[in-house]
Amino acid sequence: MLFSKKNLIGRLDAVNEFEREPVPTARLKGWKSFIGMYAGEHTAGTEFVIGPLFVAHGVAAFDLVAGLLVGNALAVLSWAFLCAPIAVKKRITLYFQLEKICGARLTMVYNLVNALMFCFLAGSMIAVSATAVGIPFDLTMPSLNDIYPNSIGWVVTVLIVGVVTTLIAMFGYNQVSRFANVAAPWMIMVFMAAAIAVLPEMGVNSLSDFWTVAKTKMWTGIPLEGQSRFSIWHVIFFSWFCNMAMHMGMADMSILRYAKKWQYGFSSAAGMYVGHFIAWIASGILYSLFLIESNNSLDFAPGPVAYRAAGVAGALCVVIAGWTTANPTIYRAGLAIQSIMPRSKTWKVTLIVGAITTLAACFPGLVMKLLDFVALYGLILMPMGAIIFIDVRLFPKLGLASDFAFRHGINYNWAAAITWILTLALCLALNRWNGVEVFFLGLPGWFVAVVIYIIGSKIMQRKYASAPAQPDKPLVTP
Amino acid sequence: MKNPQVKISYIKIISFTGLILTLIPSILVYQGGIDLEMNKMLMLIGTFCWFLTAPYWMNKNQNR
Repeated sequence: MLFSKKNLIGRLDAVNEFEREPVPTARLKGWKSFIGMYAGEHTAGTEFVIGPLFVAHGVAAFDLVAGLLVGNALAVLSWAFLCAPIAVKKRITLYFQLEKICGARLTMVYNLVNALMFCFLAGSMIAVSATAVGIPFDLTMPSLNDIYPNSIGWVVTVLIVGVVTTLIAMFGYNQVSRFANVAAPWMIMVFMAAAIAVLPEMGVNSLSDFWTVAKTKMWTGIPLEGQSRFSIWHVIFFSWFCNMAMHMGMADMSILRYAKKWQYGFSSAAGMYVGHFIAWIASGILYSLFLIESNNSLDFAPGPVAYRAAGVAGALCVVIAGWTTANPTIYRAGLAIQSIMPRSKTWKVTLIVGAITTLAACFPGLVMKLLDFVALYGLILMPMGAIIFIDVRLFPKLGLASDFAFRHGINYNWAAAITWILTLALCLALNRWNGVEVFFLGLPGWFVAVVIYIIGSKIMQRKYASAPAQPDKPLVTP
Repeated sequence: MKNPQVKISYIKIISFTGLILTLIPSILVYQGGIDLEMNKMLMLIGTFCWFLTAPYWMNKNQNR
């Protein structure tokens, strides 16, 4: 029997993700794996939400195109030059690296916050999938102002999608990677096809019509009622920082540690220019048509919008796009929890994370406030990425000790703790008293974190100067 | 079919036909060649072609 209980448990236990050791050379992956992973992950359920929200926020056509080109380029450079070199040098997870720098207790706090954020993000994707799954059942869809579940049907649909997503995630990175690899090319085709097919209904009958229609009917520069207006700077900084937790925050160390070379960080371009450029524009076109046909209705459900343009294939795309985002996100959250409970099996942890995620997904407010949530989530995790970057790349040059907690056997690196708290406090102050929107706080915040961590570490390491330290034993791939 | 490589080649042809069926009909809608409903049906056929065949060859290297 293929799926006997013993057989199934054995397969799940065999999922070894090298949580506390470097990835061995034999397990490194090639370009294709990363291109597939990034293209799949970033041509995803969020794209069905972010593209339309740009329309709702009244982004002008030129601001959108130019802003996305610049912002996505900055994101790719952040992956390639900040995250990938450290991932390849260390080949350990973000969580284990943090433990070596910050100590076990501080890492535990970080991991709890991190896992919670990942759960919310994956939850929003499960909710997006549910809007498509609910179409045949005539499910009452949520609107832009909904925060709480609006029907029993919604909750049941979300629970079904959540269970299936969690089961897939329980089988580990390889299975997630394979699923994303297969789905990615097809999803990209559906995004493009759905948008192209509705162009005549928008009044685009030749290529020369497109720009005029884009400016007058799609990205008009006028926000919907109750929404703030986004400028080109919003687009640049949002597209750069919407994955800040992954690149500058170093979360993708856990993924890119499987890369043969640091240059594989450039494979993130597949995700940025296919997902965060083509797919955002495509989903914006679909939402514009919906707004025109519904006379600016506040209903906000990606499933029916895609179904209107591409039929069953469109609805399937929304479901699968949600999965390919939720799966690696649940996997990452599982790694975060696993570093707190290292003796637990990966699949058991993933099961718990999946349950929390599914619960969060019941609240549609998570989807409606996705732009703010994504920006906030990157901001909260960013200071720890700055700490890792400085610790690995700059400390040896400054004569300061890297992996300080590991060397001195301490559980709590207070220099790192103060860096995290003060950086976020300063960002909060800038937001509250200077009116700086959450989308713009990441850049000053990163430099603030760097300065505070260097000063704090100098003071702290001076105090430990006479204490015995473990010799430098860098973890490298055999 | 005895030669597995030949079999894979045929499967790949079906896969790529699926992708083409997913994208190209939308261009025909844009040009006025077919209507939107026909496009939706062709996209669905393309979707089935892709997901029924692509897993056989896409992750072959990883499986090894």
